[in-house]
Amino acid sequence: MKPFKKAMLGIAIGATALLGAGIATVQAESQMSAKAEVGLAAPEFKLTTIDGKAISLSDYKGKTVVLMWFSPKCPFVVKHFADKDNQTFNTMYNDYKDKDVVFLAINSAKPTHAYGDVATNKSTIKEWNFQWPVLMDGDGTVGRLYGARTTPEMFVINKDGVIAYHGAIDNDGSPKGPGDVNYVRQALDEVLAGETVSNSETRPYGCSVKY
Amino acid sequence: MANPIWRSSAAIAAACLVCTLPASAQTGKGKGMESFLPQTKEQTKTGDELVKVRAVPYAAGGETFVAVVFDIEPGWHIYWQNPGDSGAAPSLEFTPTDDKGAVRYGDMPFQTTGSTRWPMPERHESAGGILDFVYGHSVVAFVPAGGVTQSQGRVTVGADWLVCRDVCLPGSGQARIQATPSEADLALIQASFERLPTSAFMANVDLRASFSEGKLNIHVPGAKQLIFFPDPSEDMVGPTDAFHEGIADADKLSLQYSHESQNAKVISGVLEVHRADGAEAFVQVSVPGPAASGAAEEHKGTE
Repeated sequence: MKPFKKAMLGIAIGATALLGAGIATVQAESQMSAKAEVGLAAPEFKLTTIDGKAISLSDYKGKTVVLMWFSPKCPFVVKHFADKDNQTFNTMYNDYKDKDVVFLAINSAKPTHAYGDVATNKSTIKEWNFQWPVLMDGDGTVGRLYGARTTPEMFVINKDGVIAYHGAIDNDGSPKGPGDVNYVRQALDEVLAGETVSNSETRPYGCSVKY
Repeated sequence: MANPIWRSSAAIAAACLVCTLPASAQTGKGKGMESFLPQTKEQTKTGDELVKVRAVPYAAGGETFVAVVFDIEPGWHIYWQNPGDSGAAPSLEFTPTDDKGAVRYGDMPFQTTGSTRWPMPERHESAGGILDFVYGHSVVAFVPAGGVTQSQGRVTVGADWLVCRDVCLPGSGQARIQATPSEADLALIQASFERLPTSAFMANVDLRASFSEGKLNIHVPGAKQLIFFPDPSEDMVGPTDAFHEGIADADKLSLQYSHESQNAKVISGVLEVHRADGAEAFVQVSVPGPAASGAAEEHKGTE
Protein backbone atom coordinates (compact mmCIF):
# COMPACT_ATOMS: atom_id res chain seq x y z
CA MET A 1 0.00 0.00 0.00
CA LYS A 2 1.28 3.43 -0.86
CA PRO A 3 0.82 6.09 1.79
CA PHE A 4 -0.93 9.19 0.52
CA LYS A 5 -1.18 7.43 -2.79
CA LYS A 6 -4.01 5.59 -4.32
CA ALA A 7 -5.37 5.09 -7.74
CA MET A 8 -7.97 7.76 -8.28
CA LEU A 9 -9.25 6.58 -11.60
CA GLY A 10 -11.01 3.38 -10.91
CA ILE A 11 -12.67 3.45 -14.27
CA ALA A 12 -11.73 0.51 -16.38
CA ILE A 13 -8.98 -1.96 -16.14
CA GLY A 14 -7.75 -2.74 -19.60
CA ALA A 15 -6.30 -5.93 -20.82
CA THR A 16 -3.28 -6.63 -18.70
CA ALA A 17 -0.75 -9.21 -19.61
CA LEU A 18 2.68 -9.98 -18.35
CA LEU A 19 5.59 -9.77 -20.69
CA GLY A 20 8.86 -11.59 -20.32
CA ALA A 21 10.64 -9.61 -17.63
CA GLY A 22 7.56 -9.00 -15.55
CA ILE A 23 6.54 -5.79 -17.25
CA ALA A 24 2.79 -5.36 -17.41
CA THR A 25 1.24 -4.30 -20.66
CA VAL A 26 -1.75 -2.03 -20.60
CA GLN A 27 -3.85 -0.17 -23.07
CA ALA A 28 -2.12 3.17 -23.22
CA GLU A 29 -5.11 5.28 -24.15
CA SER A 30 -7.62 3.90 -21.68
CA GLN A 31 -7.86 5.29 -18.19
CA MET A 32 -6.63 2.68 -15.82
CA SER A 33 -6.46 1.98 -12.17
CA ALA A 34 -2.88 2.80 -11.27
CA LYS A 35 -0.99 -0.27 -10.29
CA ALA A 36 2.40 1.32 -10.02
CA GLU A 37 3.29 0.08 -6.58
CA VAL A 38 6.53 -1.02 -5.04
CA GLY A 39 6.94 -4.74 -5.48
CA LEU A 40 4.70 -4.93 -8.54
CA ALA A 41 5.63 -5.05 -12.20
CA ALA A 42 6.04 -1.57 -13.65
CA PRO A 43 3.20 -0.81 -16.06
CA GLU A 44 4.28 -0.68 -19.68
CA PHE A 45 3.96 2.59 -21.54
CA LYS A 46 4.87 4.09 -24.86
CA LEU A 47 5.58 7.79 -25.25
CA THR A 48 7.40 10.12 -27.58
CA THR A 49 10.33 12.24 -26.50
CA ILE A 50 10.22 15.97 -27.00
CA ASP A 51 12.53 15.37 -29.96
CA GLY A 52 10.09 12.94 -31.56
CA LYS A 53 11.61 9.58 -30.68
CA ALA A 54 9.20 6.83 -29.66
CA ILE A 55 10.19 5.07 -26.45
CA SER A 56 8.59 2.15 -24.66
CA LEU A 57 9.48 0.98 -21.19
CA SER A 58 9.87 -2.52 -22.60
CA ASP A 59 12.71 -1.21 -24.80
CA TYR A 60 14.81 -1.35 -21.65
CA LYS A 61 14.02 -4.87 -20.60
CA GLY A 62 16.85 -6.20 -18.46
CA LYS A 63 18.08 -2.74 -17.46
CA THR A 64 17.49 -0.68 -14.35
CA VAL A 65 15.21 2.26 -15.16
CA VAL A 66 14.73 5.50 -13.25
CA LEU A 67 11.56 7.49 -13.97
CA MET A 68 11.23 11.11 -12.96
CA TRP A 69 8.10 13.20 -13.35
CA PHE A 70 9.40 16.41 -14.81
CA SER A 71 8.36 20.04 -14.97
CA PRO A 72 10.52 22.79 -16.42
CA LYS A 73 9.49 25.62 -14.10
CA CYS A 74 8.45 23.93 -10.88
CA PRO A 75 10.59 25.31 -8.01
CA PHE A 76 11.06 21.80 -6.60
CA VAL A 77 12.67 20.76 -9.89
CA VAL A 78 14.47 24.03 -10.50
CA LYS A 79 16.25 23.77 -7.14
CA HIS A 80 18.03 20.64 -8.35
CA PHE A 81 19.58 22.55 -11.24
CA ALA A 82 20.58 25.66 -9.29
CA ASP A 83 24.09 24.48 -8.46
CA LYS A 84 25.75 24.39 -11.87
CA ASP A 85 28.55 22.20 -10.55
CA ASN A 86 26.31 19.64 -8.91
CA GLN A 87 22.95 19.41 -10.61
CA THR A 88 21.18 16.54 -8.90
CA PHE A 89 19.73 14.83 -11.96
CA ASN A 90 22.62 15.43 -14.34
CA THR A 91 25.16 14.28 -11.76
CA MET A 92 23.14 11.16 -11.10
CA TYR A 93 22.97 10.50 -14.83
CA ASN A 94 26.72 10.81 -15.19
CA ASP A 95 27.41 8.61 -12.19
CA TYR A 96 25.13 5.75 -13.24
CA LYS A 97 24.79 5.86 -17.03
CA ASP A 98 27.59 3.34 -17.48
CA LYS A 99 26.09 0.95 -14.96
CA ASP A 100 23.24 -0.24 -17.15
CA VAL A 101 20.88 2.35 -15.72
CA VAL A 102 18.42 4.19 -17.98
CA PHE A 103 17.01 7.57 -17.02
CA LEU A 104 13.66 8.78 -18.37
CA ALA A 105 11.89 12.03 -17.51
CA ILE A 106 8.14 12.22 -18.12
CA ASN A 107 6.17 15.45 -18.39
CA SER A 108 2.45 14.80 -17.81
CA ALA A 109 1.36 18.45 -17.83
CA LYS A 110 -1.30 19.31 -20.36
CA PRO A 111 0.10 21.16 -23.38
CA THR A 112 -1.95 24.28 -22.64
CA HIS A 113 -0.26 24.69 -19.28
CA ALA A 114 2.98 26.63 -18.96
CA TYR A 115 4.66 23.50 -17.57
CA GLY A 116 3.55 21.42 -20.58
CA ASP A 117 4.44 23.92 -23.26
CA VAL A 118 6.85 22.33 -25.73
CA ALA A 119 8.89 25.47 -26.40
CA THR A 120 9.32 26.10 -22.67
CA ASN A 121 10.42 22.51 -22.12
CA LYS A 122 12.90 22.65 -24.98
CA SER A 123 14.47 25.90 -23.85
CA THR A 124 14.73 24.69 -20.26
CA ILE A 125 16.28 21.38 -21.27
CA LYS A 126 18.86 23.29 -23.27
CA GLU A 127 19.48 25.83 -20.51
CA TRP A 128 20.05 23.09 -17.94
CA ASN A 129 21.83 20.77 -20.35
CA PHE A 130 19.44 18.18 -18.99
CA GLN A 131 20.79 14.78 -19.92
CA TRP A 132 17.65 12.71 -19.51
CA PRO A 133 15.28 12.18 -22.45
CA VAL A 134 12.05 14.03 -21.72
CA LEU A 135 8.94 12.08 -22.71
CA MET A 136 5.82 14.13 -23.32
CA ASP A 137 2.61 12.77 -21.80
CA GLY A 138 0.26 15.64 -22.58
CA ASP A 139 -2.95 13.71 -21.99
CA GLY A 140 -1.62 12.46 -18.68
CA THR A 141 -2.26 8.79 -19.44
CA VAL A 142 1.05 7.52 -18.15
CA GLY A 143 1.07 9.94 -15.22
CA ARG A 144 -2.31 8.66 -14.11
CA LEU A 145 -1.25 5.09 -14.76
CA TYR A 146 1.62 5.56 -12.34
CA GLY A 147 -0.43 7.70 -9.94
CA ALA A 148 2.13 10.50 -10.25
CA ARG A 149 1.10 13.62 -8.38
CA THR A 150 4.19 15.73 -8.03
CA THR A 151 7.29 16.90 -9.83
CA PRO A 152 9.84 15.53 -9.23
CA GLU A 153 8.25 12.18 -8.30
CA MET A 154 10.58 9.22 -8.70
CA PHE A 155 10.38 5.52 -9.50
CA VAL A 156 13.23 3.04 -9.69
CA ILE A 157 12.48 -0.11 -11.70
CA ASN A 158 14.86 -3.01 -11.32
CA LYS A 159 16.18 -5.13 -14.17
CA ASP A 160 13.33 -7.60 -13.65
CA GLY A 161 10.81 -4.84 -14.40
CA VAL A 162 9.61 -4.55 -10.82
CA ILE A 163 9.22 -1.23 -9.04
CA ALA A 164 11.89 -1.13 -6.34
CA TYR A 165 11.48 2.44 -5.15
CA HIS A 166 8.79 5.11 -5.27
CA GLY A 167 8.86 8.51 -3.68
CA ALA A 168 10.89 11.67 -3.34
CA ILE A 169 14.27 12.33 -4.85
CA ASP A 170 15.68 13.30 -1.46
CA ASN A 171 14.92 14.29 2.10
CA ASP A 172 14.30 18.03 1.64
CA GLY A 173 10.70 18.75 0.70
CA SER A 174 11.17 22.51 0.61
CA PRO A 175 11.73 24.47 -2.60
CA LYS A 176 15.00 25.86 -1.18
CA GLY A 177 17.59 23.27 -2.11
CA PRO A 178 18.47 19.59 -2.37
CA GLY A 179 18.53 17.45 0.74
CA ASP A 180 21.52 15.62 2.13
CA VAL A 181 20.09 12.14 1.59
CA ASN A 182 19.29 11.15 -2.00
CA TYR A 183 16.80 8.29 -1.78
CA VAL A 184 17.08 7.39 -5.47
CA ARG A 185 20.85 7.01 -5.27
CA GLN A 186 20.41 4.82 -2.21
CA ALA A 187 17.88 2.70 -4.05
CA LEU A 188 20.05 2.46 -7.16
CA ASP A 189 23.09 1.38 -5.15
CA GLU A 190 21.08 -1.32 -3.45
CA VAL A 191 19.37 -2.49 -6.65
CA LEU A 192 22.66 -2.66 -8.52
CA ALA A 193 24.19 -4.62 -5.65
CA GLY A 194 21.34 -7.09 -5.84
CA GLU A 195 20.07 -6.05 -2.45
CA THR A 196 16.58 -5.26 -1.25
CA VAL A 197 15.92 -1.54 -1.17
CA SER A 198 15.92 -0.60 2.49
CA ASN A 199 13.82 2.54 2.09
CA SER A 200 11.54 1.61 -0.76
CA GLU A 201 8.84 4.22 -0.22
CA THR A 202 9.03 7.85 0.79
CA ARG A 203 6.57 10.65 0.48
CA PRO A 204 6.96 12.42 -2.87
CA TYR A 205 7.17 16.20 -2.72
CA GLY A 206 6.92 18.95 -5.28
CA CYS A 207 4.50 20.82 -7.50
CA SER A 208 1.30 19.08 -8.48
CA VAL A 209 1.35 17.44 -11.88
CA LYS A 210 -0.70 19.76 -14.11
CA TYR A 211 -3.07 17.21 -15.66
CA MET B 1 -29.73 23.08 19.26
CA ALA B 2 -28.69 26.64 19.95
CA ASN B 3 -25.10 26.58 21.10
CA PRO B 4 -23.05 29.75 21.42
CA ILE B 5 -19.80 27.91 20.84
CA TRP B 6 -20.87 26.71 17.44
CA ARG B 7 -19.96 29.52 15.12
CA SER B 8 -22.21 30.73 12.41
CA SER B 9 -20.95 30.24 8.87
CA ALA B 10 -22.51 33.50 7.86
CA ALA B 11 -20.71 35.42 10.58
CA ILE B 12 -17.36 33.91 9.66
CA ALA B 13 -17.94 34.61 6.00
CA ALA B 14 -18.80 38.21 6.77
CA ALA B 15 -15.71 38.64 8.89
CA CYS B 16 -13.48 37.16 6.21
CA LEU B 17 -13.05 40.46 4.46
CA VAL B 18 -10.55 39.39 1.89
CA CYS B 19 -11.85 35.96 1.00
CA THR B 20 -11.77 35.59 -2.72
CA LEU B 21 -12.78 31.99 -3.28
CA PRO B 22 -16.26 30.92 -4.21
CA ALA B 23 -18.08 29.05 -1.49
CA SER B 24 -17.62 25.74 -3.28
CA ALA B 25 -13.85 25.99 -3.07
CA GLN B 26 -13.87 27.17 0.53
CA THR B 27 -15.98 24.32 1.75
CA GLY B 28 -14.07 21.76 -0.21
CA LYS B 29 -17.01 20.86 -2.42
CA GLY B 30 -16.74 20.99 -6.15
CA LYS B 31 -13.62 20.57 -8.17
CA GLY B 32 -11.32 23.09 -6.56
CA MET B 33 -9.80 26.30 -7.68
CA GLU B 34 -7.99 25.26 -10.78
CA SER B 35 -11.25 24.69 -12.61
CA PHE B 36 -11.98 28.40 -12.72
CA LEU B 37 -8.53 29.91 -12.67
CA PRO B 38 -6.73 30.90 -15.82
CA GLN B 39 -4.32 28.14 -16.71
CA THR B 40 -1.48 30.04 -18.25
CA LYS B 41 -2.01 33.66 -17.29
CA GLU B 42 1.11 35.66 -17.78
CA GLN B 43 2.85 35.87 -14.46
CA THR B 44 4.76 39.05 -13.76
CA LYS B 45 4.90 39.24 -9.96
CA THR B 46 7.47 37.33 -7.94
CA GLY B 47 6.74 35.02 -5.04
CA ASP B 48 7.94 37.77 -2.70
CA GLU B 49 5.41 40.19 -4.18
CA LEU B 50 2.42 37.84 -4.19
CA VAL B 51 2.42 37.47 -0.41
CA LYS B 52 3.08 40.18 2.15
CA VAL B 53 3.61 39.54 5.85
CA ARG B 54 2.85 41.79 8.80
CA ALA B 55 3.19 41.01 12.51
CA VAL B 56 1.18 42.55 15.34
CA PRO B 57 0.50 41.72 18.98
CA TYR B 58 -2.80 40.00 19.66
CA ALA B 59 -4.36 38.80 22.88
CA ALA B 60 -7.29 36.44 23.17
CA GLY B 61 -8.48 33.75 25.52
CA GLY B 62 -5.94 34.77 28.17
CA GLU B 63 -3.00 34.23 25.82
CA THR B 64 -0.74 36.64 24.00
CA PHE B 65 0.37 36.03 20.44
CA VAL B 66 2.29 37.47 17.60
CA ALA B 67 -0.32 37.48 14.87
CA VAL B 68 1.49 37.01 11.57
CA VAL B 69 -0.69 38.21 8.71
CA PHE B 70 -0.14 36.60 5.31
CA ASP B 71 -1.68 38.96 2.79
CA ILE B 72 -2.13 36.81 -0.31
CA GLU B 73 -2.76 38.05 -3.84
CA PRO B 74 -6.32 37.07 -4.87
CA GLY B 75 -6.43 33.85 -6.86
CA TRP B 76 -3.26 32.46 -5.26
CA HIS B 77 -2.84 30.18 -2.29
CA ILE B 78 -0.27 29.16 0.29
CA TYR B 79 -0.21 25.88 2.19
CA TRP B 80 -1.22 24.54 5.58
CA GLN B 81 1.30 22.78 7.82
CA ASN B 82 0.41 19.56 6.05
CA PRO B 83 0.44 20.73 2.43
CA GLY B 84 -1.21 17.55 1.18
CA ASP B 85 -0.11 15.80 -2.01
CA SER B 86 1.98 18.73 -3.27
CA GLY B 87 3.25 22.12 -2.19
CA ALA B 88 5.15 23.16 0.92
CA ALA B 89 4.21 24.60 4.28
CA PRO B 90 5.30 28.13 5.17
CA SER B 91 7.90 28.59 7.87
CA LEU B 92 8.43 31.35 10.41
CA GLU B 93 11.50 32.52 12.25
CA PHE B 94 11.88 35.29 14.78
CA THR B 95 15.02 37.37 15.06
CA PRO B 96 15.75 39.99 17.68
CA THR B 97 17.00 43.21 16.18
CA ASP B 98 17.80 46.72 17.21
CA ASP B 99 17.01 49.67 15.02
CA LYS B 100 20.02 48.94 12.86
CA GLY B 101 19.12 45.30 12.45
CA ALA B 102 21.79 44.02 14.81
CA VAL B 103 21.04 41.07 17.08
CA ARG B 104 20.54 42.14 20.66
CA TYR B 105 19.60 39.11 22.70
CA GLY B 106 20.57 40.41 26.11
CA ASP B 107 17.70 42.76 26.76
CA MET B 108 15.00 41.22 24.62
CA PRO B 109 11.97 40.12 26.62
CA PHE B 110 10.37 38.43 23.63
CA GLN B 111 10.03 34.67 23.79
CA THR B 112 7.85 32.25 21.92
CA THR B 113 5.99 29.97 24.29
CA GLY B 114 4.38 27.36 22.11
CA SER B 115 3.80 25.97 18.67
CA THR B 116 2.38 28.20 15.98
CA ARG B 117 -1.35 27.79 15.58
CA TRP B 118 -2.81 27.83 12.08
CA PRO B 119 -6.49 28.31 11.21
CA MET B 120 -8.43 25.63 9.41
CA PRO B 121 -7.24 25.19 5.82
CA GLU B 122 -9.34 24.45 2.77
CA ARG B 123 -9.31 21.47 0.44
CA HIS B 124 -7.81 22.22 -2.95
CA GLU B 125 -8.61 19.51 -5.46
CA SER B 126 -6.81 19.19 -8.79
CA ALA B 127 -7.12 16.87 -11.77
CA GLY B 128 -5.50 13.52 -11.22
CA GLY B 129 -6.95 13.12 -7.75
CA ILE B 130 -4.47 15.55 -6.24
CA LEU B 131 -5.53 17.01 -2.91
CA ASP B 132 -3.77 19.86 -1.17
CA PHE B 133 -4.59 21.74 2.03
CA VAL B 134 -4.32 25.46 1.45
CA TYR B 135 -5.25 28.98 2.34
CA GLY B 136 -6.86 30.52 -0.71
CA HIS B 137 -7.21 33.93 0.92
CA SER B 138 -5.30 36.06 3.38
CA VAL B 139 -4.75 34.28 6.66
CA VAL B 140 -3.15 34.77 10.06
CA ALA B 141 -0.81 32.45 11.97
CA PHE B 142 -0.77 32.82 15.76
CA VAL B 143 2.53 32.40 17.56
CA PRO B 144 2.12 32.14 21.34
CA ALA B 145 4.69 34.45 22.86
CA GLY B 146 5.59 36.46 25.90
CA GLY B 147 6.95 40.00 25.90
CA VAL B 148 5.22 40.78 22.65
CA THR B 149 4.09 44.28 23.46
CA GLN B 150 7.58 45.25 24.71
CA SER B 151 9.12 43.95 21.50
CA GLN B 152 7.45 46.20 18.98
CA GLY B 153 9.95 47.15 16.34
CA ARG B 154 12.67 45.12 18.01
CA VAL B 155 11.73 41.69 16.83
CA THR B 156 11.57 40.71 13.19
CA VAL B 157 9.61 37.78 11.86
CA GLY B 158 10.99 36.17 8.74
CA ALA B 159 8.69 33.99 6.68
CA ASP B 160 9.19 31.64 3.74
CA TRP B 161 6.36 30.31 1.64
CA LEU B 162 5.38 28.66 -1.57
CA VAL B 163 2.58 30.49 -3.36
CA CYS B 164 0.71 28.78 -6.16
CA ARG B 165 -2.05 29.34 -8.67
CA ASP B 166 -1.58 27.57 -11.99
CA VAL B 167 2.15 27.82 -11.31
CA CYS B 168 4.12 27.86 -8.06
CA LEU B 169 6.64 30.41 -6.85
CA PRO B 170 8.75 30.40 -3.68
CA GLY B 171 8.79 33.61 -1.69
CA SER B 172 9.98 35.14 1.54
CA GLY B 173 9.53 38.32 3.51
CA GLN B 174 10.24 40.00 6.80
CA ALA B 175 8.26 42.23 9.12
CA ARG B 176 8.94 43.82 12.44
CA ILE B 177 6.29 43.50 15.10
CA GLN B 178 4.07 46.55 14.78
CA ALA B 179 2.42 48.41 17.63
CA THR B 180 -1.20 47.82 16.68
CA PRO B 181 -3.06 46.22 13.81
CA SER B 182 -5.06 48.25 11.32
CA GLU B 183 -8.83 47.87 11.44
CA ALA B 184 -8.77 45.66 8.38
CA ASP B 185 -6.04 43.49 9.86
CA LEU B 186 -7.88 43.25 13.16
CA ALA B 187 -10.99 41.94 11.39
CA LEU B 188 -8.86 39.41 9.52
CA ILE B 189 -7.05 38.41 12.70
CA GLN B 190 -10.30 37.87 14.55
CA ALA B 191 -11.78 35.89 11.68
CA SER B 192 -8.68 33.69 11.54
CA PHE B 193 -8.70 33.24 15.31
CA GLU B 194 -12.27 32.02 15.08
CA ARG B 195 -11.06 29.33 12.68
CA LEU B 196 -8.40 27.91 15.01
CA PRO B 197 -9.22 24.32 15.87
CA THR B 198 -9.85 23.66 19.53
CA SER B 199 -10.56 20.62 21.62
CA ALA B 200 -13.94 18.98 21.19
CA PHE B 201 -14.66 19.93 24.79
CA MET B 202 -13.95 23.61 24.17
CA ALA B 203 -15.95 23.55 20.96
CA ASN B 204 -18.73 21.68 22.74
CA VAL B 205 -18.78 19.10 19.99
CA ASP B 206 -19.84 15.53 20.63
CA LEU B 207 -16.83 14.00 18.88
CA ARG B 208 -16.54 10.23 18.85
CA ALA B 209 -13.32 9.10 17.25
CA SER B 210 -11.45 5.82 17.21
CA PHE B 211 -8.78 4.07 15.22
CA SER B 212 -9.23 0.41 14.50
CA GLU B 213 -8.25 -2.05 11.78
CA GLY B 214 -6.27 0.63 9.98
CA LYS B 215 -9.14 3.10 9.84
CA LEU B 216 -9.82 6.39 11.54
CA ASN B 217 -13.52 6.49 12.33
CA ILE B 218 -15.19 9.77 13.25
CA HIS B 219 -18.77 10.32 14.32
CA VAL B 220 -20.33 13.66 15.24
CA PRO B 221 -24.04 13.09 15.85
CA GLY B 222 -26.15 15.75 14.15
CA ALA B 223 -23.46 16.87 11.71
CA LYS B 224 -24.43 17.54 8.11
CA GLN B 225 -20.92 17.53 6.72
CA LEU B 226 -17.49 16.52 8.06
CA ILE B 227 -14.14 17.45 6.52
CA PHE B 228 -10.93 15.97 7.94
CA PHE B 229 -7.42 17.34 7.52
CA PRO B 230 -4.65 14.98 8.68
CA ASP B 231 -1.76 16.44 10.65
CA PRO B 232 1.65 16.47 9.01
CA SER B 233 3.65 13.30 9.47
CA GLU B 234 7.33 12.58 8.95
CA ASP B 235 6.93 8.83 8.95
CA MET B 236 4.45 8.23 6.14
CA VAL B 237 1.49 7.89 8.48
CA GLY B 238 -1.59 9.28 6.82
CA PRO B 239 -4.82 8.54 4.96
CA THR B 240 -4.40 6.65 1.71
CA ASP B 241 -7.29 8.43 0.01
CA ALA B 242 -8.14 11.70 1.72
CA PHE B 243 -9.32 12.97 -1.66
CA HIS B 244 -12.39 10.76 -1.50
CA GLU B 245 -12.59 9.75 2.13
CA GLY B 246 -11.67 13.05 3.80
CA ILE B 247 -15.03 14.68 3.21
CA ALA B 248 -18.54 13.34 3.78
CA ASP B 249 -22.01 14.82 3.66
CA ALA B 250 -22.89 12.82 6.73
CA ASP B 251 -22.26 12.68 10.44
CA LYS B 252 -19.72 9.90 10.03
CA LEU B 253 -16.35 9.77 8.33
CA SER B 254 -14.00 6.84 7.89
CA LEU B 255 -10.50 7.08 6.45
CA GLN B 256 -8.24 4.18 5.58
CA TYR B 257 -4.68 4.83 6.81
CA SER B 258 -1.36 3.73 5.37
CA HIS B 259 0.18 0.53 6.65
CA GLU B 260 2.83 2.64 8.38
CA SER B 261 0.10 3.71 10.80
CA GLN B 262 0.66 0.37 12.53
CA ASN B 263 3.67 2.07 14.11
CA ALA B 264 1.85 5.27 15.05
CA LYS B 265 1.32 6.15 18.67
CA VAL B 266 -1.10 8.92 17.76
CA ILE B 267 -3.42 9.50 14.83
CA SER B 268 -4.34 13.16 14.61
CA GLY B 269 -5.71 15.98 12.52
CA VAL B 270 -8.37 18.65 12.56
CA LEU B 271 -12.03 18.35 11.71
CA GLU B 272 -14.40 20.85 10.17
CA VAL B 273 -17.94 20.20 11.28
CA HIS B 274 -20.99 21.66 9.56
CA ARG B 275 -24.45 21.31 10.96
CA ALA B 276 -27.82 21.51 9.30
CA ASP B 277 -28.52 24.90 10.88
CA GLY B 278 -25.43 26.40 9.24
CA ALA B 279 -23.28 26.41 12.36
CA GLU B 280 -19.75 25.13 12.08
CA ALA B 281 -16.98 24.10 14.44
CA PHE B 282 -13.29 23.36 14.13
CA VAL B 283 -12.07 20.51 16.27
CA GLN B 284 -8.77 18.82 17.04
CA VAL B 285 -8.86 15.06 16.62
CA SER B 286 -6.28 12.90 18.36
CA VAL B 287 -6.70 9.23 19.10
CA PRO B 288 -4.18 6.59 20.16
CA GLY B 289 -2.63 4.75 17.26
CA PRO B 290 -1.93 1.02 17.16
CA ALA B 291 1.51 1.54 18.71
CA ALA B 292 0.21 3.38 21.74
CA SER B 293 0.45 1.22 24.81
CA GLY B 294 -2.93 -0.18 25.66
CA ALA B 295 -4.51 1.50 22.65
CA ALA B 296 -6.70 -1.42 21.73
CA GLU B 297 -8.08 -1.85 25.20
CA GLU B 298 -8.53 1.85 25.78
CA HIS B 299 -10.61 2.42 22.68
CA LYS B 300 -12.57 -0.75 22.56
CA GLY B 301 -16.21 0.17 22.36
CA THR B 302 -15.72 3.90 22.07
CA GLU B 303 -18.13 4.06 19.17
